Amino acid sequence: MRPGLTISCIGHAAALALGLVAISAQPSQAPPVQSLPVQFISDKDFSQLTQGVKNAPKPKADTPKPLADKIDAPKPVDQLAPKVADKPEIKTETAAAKPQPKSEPKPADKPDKPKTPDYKPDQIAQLLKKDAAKQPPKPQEKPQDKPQRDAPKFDANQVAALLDHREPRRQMAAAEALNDQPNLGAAAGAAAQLSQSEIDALRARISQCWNPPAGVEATSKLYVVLRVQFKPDGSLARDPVPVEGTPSALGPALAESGKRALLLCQPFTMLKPEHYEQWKDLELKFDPQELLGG
Amino acid sequence: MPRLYTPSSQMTRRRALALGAAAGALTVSTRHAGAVVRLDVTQGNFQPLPIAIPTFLPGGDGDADTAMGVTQIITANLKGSGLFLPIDPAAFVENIASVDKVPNFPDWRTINAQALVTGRVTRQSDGRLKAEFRLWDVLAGQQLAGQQYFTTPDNWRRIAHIISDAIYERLTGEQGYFDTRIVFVDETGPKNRRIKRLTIMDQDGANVRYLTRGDELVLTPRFSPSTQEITYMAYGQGDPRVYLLNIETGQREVVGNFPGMSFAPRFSPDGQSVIMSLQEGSNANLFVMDLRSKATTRLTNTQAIDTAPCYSADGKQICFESDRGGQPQIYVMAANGGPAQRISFGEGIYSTPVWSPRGDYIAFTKQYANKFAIGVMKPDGSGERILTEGFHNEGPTFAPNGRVIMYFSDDVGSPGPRLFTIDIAGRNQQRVPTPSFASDPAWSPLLS
Repeated sequence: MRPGLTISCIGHAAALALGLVAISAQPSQAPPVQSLPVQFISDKDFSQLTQGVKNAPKPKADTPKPLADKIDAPKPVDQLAPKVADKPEIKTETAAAKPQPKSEPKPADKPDKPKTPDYKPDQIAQLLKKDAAKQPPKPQEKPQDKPQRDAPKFDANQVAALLDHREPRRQMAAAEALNDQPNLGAAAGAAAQLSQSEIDALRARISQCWNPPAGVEATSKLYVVLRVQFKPDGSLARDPVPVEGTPSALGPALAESGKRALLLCQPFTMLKPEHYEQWKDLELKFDPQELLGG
Repeated sequence: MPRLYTPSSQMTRRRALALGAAAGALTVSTRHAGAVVRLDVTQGNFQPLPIAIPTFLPGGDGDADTAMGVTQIITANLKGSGLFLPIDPAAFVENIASVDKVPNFPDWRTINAQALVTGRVTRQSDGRLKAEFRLWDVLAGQQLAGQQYFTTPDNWRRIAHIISDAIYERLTGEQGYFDTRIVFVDETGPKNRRIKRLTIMDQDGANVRYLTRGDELVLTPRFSPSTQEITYMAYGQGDPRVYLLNIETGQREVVGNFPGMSFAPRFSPDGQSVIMSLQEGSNANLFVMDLRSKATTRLTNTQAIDTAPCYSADGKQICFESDRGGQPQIYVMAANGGPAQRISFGEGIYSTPVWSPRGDYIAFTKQYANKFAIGVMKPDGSGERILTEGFHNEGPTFAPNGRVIMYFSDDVGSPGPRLFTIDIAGRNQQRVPTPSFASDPAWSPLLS
């Protein structure tokens, strides 16, 4: 009984003493976490950022881009490539192709979704390669060519030099214009300026006020387009004018119902004055088919 | 190491990209030609339109009552359609002093009126009545319609209906149905000894006129497209027979001289012939009789009861009821006979089909689970929709614009049937005023 108690006391005391020493020896600070720069952007800015226009100039391979890029992005590719090359048994095309798509898009996509693919490969090609053959401008083709040729010529000094180019990009990102260079994309018309949220709010408001004439039927496939001109305060500058529509006896009643909706619910304050140029003149297509389940 | 992309494939891709860019530029250039941004509005709210109808102005000293009456009829018609919301005159700000002056629109906007009707009724020196009206779009500040009509003073109600139709048509974009009449079977007396008389009245229940004396049983009256004639079935002492009656002259004649019963008559859309059922033993088949030549043509030849035939609006097809499949169902066939196609497949019994004047629907009576329902379906049998159901609903008939259906309904505790209207969406059910019990209504075409 007694020796047991003594052993227990000594054991506990030893454990406590050890614990004190062990805990005090640990640094109490959390490892420093590198802070990430975060910028809040509005939905409008986002729609601008992701917006493309169809008449944007085709990106040229030779012209250096003013917006510098995450040049360090290709690094992991270069490091990965030699590994692939080292393995003697992998010789098929598919095997060579596989690791590249996996590793390539990841670093490219993360830092700057809409822009990175445009610039990175060209820079790499120019700086790392003394090859006489010019690289084609397309980003998709690069990844396949690059690792095969670039891998043996990898030079850490040159990569370090490239890293300096990150400076201008950061300045651009903080600048007023988020996307000062048009790039190829879907033509969603005025969305480049007039934001989707404004358009949706306008459409919702007009829908609320629109009382289509009772005579419309799902089978008639009737619609009317009214040209509407606004004042900067969102009220109508003049009476909406029908510019297009299905020829029908019901046409005038349909056009007037649309007109009444606009007159009844003006001013449309959801339209922002800074975008006035975009919404001062709109064409509104009143189409009751969906409403009738047609 | 093998190259993944050959130079030729690069060229192709590059070319494709260039082509794509060119196409993009092209699209944009056409868009620029249009210049204006276009938005689609595909949602809305079907709501009754707020309309202000100030009492029409009397043109002379004795015209105040007529002017008031015309205003009341127009208001009741538009309200009854369910598509308009007449504003209480107590809310009016402006007092209309002249029909020739442009109203003060802001006054009408403040009471949320979207349409405004002004009018005047004047008895002229030649004894005729002049009625004029203007329909205004309050929000746009424009006149939408303006008409004047002349008639004999006792016809003032019709003038009010005609003006109602003009307003309805201008604002809804579809034909009106106020200047119409209803023929029906008026029922009086105790249930076991009912007196049934053929009766005609305006669609709003006014101007009731009895066309038969009540000494025989009358059923299924139907209007001719001319609106001057009615065909119906009656039986007194002999077999039930189909008759033709001229509303204006009261002249009556039997349609054809057939050995058995003839029943369920209906005019063809051109009014030149009558289609009906003729009894053949225990069966009945469909026949059509040319009213001028009296030539009769057989359309069906079955060992079943084919009845309740009705032409499509274009006269090319016929829908009818037949029990050839075991129990009564609706069939459609060509107007000159031939193979018939069954279109009703729901649970229960389908009867009294009637084709909409607009051509888009066939209305019917459906009997199932001890209930009678009035419904519509498309002429191919799809899109069946029950509009109203109850203890006993029967005999649908379409308004000339195909939007409203009238039928008769008999409730469990009710001592007799009454007339009701409902629109084809199943909304706005309304009772139609009749002097006593009423059944078998038929809606006339527009009178004018």
